Amino acid sequence: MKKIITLFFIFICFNSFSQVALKIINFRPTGELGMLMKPTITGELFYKDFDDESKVIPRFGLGFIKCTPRLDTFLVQGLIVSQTTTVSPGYITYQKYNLFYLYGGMDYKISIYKGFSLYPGIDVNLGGTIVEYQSQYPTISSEDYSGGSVYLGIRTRAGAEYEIKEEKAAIFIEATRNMNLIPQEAFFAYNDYGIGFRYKF
Amino acid sequence: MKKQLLFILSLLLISVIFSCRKAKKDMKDYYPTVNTVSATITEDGDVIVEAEITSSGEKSLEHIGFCMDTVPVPKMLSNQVVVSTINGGNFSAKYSNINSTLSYNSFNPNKTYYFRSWATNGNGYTYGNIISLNNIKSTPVIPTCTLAPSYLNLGTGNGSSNYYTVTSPSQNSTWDFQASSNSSGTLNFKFGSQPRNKVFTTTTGTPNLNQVNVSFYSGFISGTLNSGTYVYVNEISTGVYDITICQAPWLYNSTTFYLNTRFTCPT
Repeated sequence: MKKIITLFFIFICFNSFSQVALKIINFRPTGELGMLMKPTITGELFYKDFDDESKVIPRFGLGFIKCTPRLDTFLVQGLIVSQTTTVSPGYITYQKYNLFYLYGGMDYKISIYKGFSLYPGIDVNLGGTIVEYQSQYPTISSEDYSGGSVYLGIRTRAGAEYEIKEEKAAIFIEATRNMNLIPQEAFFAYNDYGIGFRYKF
Repeated sequence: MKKQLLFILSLLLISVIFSCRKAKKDMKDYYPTVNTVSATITEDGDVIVEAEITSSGEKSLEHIGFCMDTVPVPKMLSNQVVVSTINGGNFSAKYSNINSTLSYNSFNPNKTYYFRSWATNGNGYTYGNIISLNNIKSTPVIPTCTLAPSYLNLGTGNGSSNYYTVTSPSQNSTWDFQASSNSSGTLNFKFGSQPRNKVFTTTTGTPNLNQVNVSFYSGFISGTLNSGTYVYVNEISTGVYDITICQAPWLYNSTTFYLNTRFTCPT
């Protein structure tokens, strides 16, 4: 994993030419993740070149999301099946649930009017989760877990951008749908709504 | 080529935006909603608990049931009953006053019992409200005959007699005691469950929870009450029972006799 991150940063450095973009994100988990974790504000750093020649503009970035559980304790149940069925009440408490990710993809620029453009985009994600939780099912099991998983994902995006200074600075807003798969474990998804700014030094 | 790419991107974007399942604002919406509607004491001293599901939550129901305890907030594992049938959102269960499969064995009329429903779905479980009951016991029964408090007549034409000793019920595989009379012999009782306010029915075999086996001997005569006769039991104080049997047939040498008796157990 460390090698991948190192290679990614090298890649960015070779390509960025002192260009940086910062996006403030409203992270809004959906589905299963939406039941477990609260929406939160976080950030994303990425590279996206100013290029008036091409409509397809690559972008690469990284992000980190520190999730906060919606409840202190989630009530769950286990099942004991012998001659009779017994439903055993249990609980899960999350001490930590963090996501970090790297992505690479592209935007398709549709110029509208004098520096204002719209763009759909798509990325491929490679990320990881860092999770600590405690689960307890009376008469069945109890577990203190601390670990992580790697996930793969795809992100689709729609955004709008305005170049404040031609090929130098721009502000943008965008909405992103993130769909991720932890192999053989889980699927999780979230939306994020971001506002940001790009600048070329 | 660029138009095709744009088209694919747009299509993908629209599909994923409309496929997303938004998080619910209220966490309660993820879980089932269940209400404990009633807890009713029957004539036999059983308790019928009823509940209703008003919402299955975000996922479909998995299990429903009740729990019961003498502590004010019963937990799911306390005397748990898992219910397998639900009718239009309503479900019920019976806590039998006599049930050896549950840990409480029988209700103590001097204690308060708390009943609570629960339901689970794929996200977790929730409890319903709690209903408390006390003085859980069966309704006193009224015999069809009126006899003196200590009376035994086997119906053989030898008259009646009084009881001089009746032992306390002791629990083996059945609840057993003996009632010995002055001159009409001794009756052996085997109740299938703990005596309480209830009309038991005689059996010549091993009694079930609602039955009693009554045999007797008097000199060289011995017999067993025929099946199907009522034995009226009233608990007049804790562990003390008033027992009456009216016109109970028994067979001896192809002749049917009719036994009448009433006594207090123990005496």
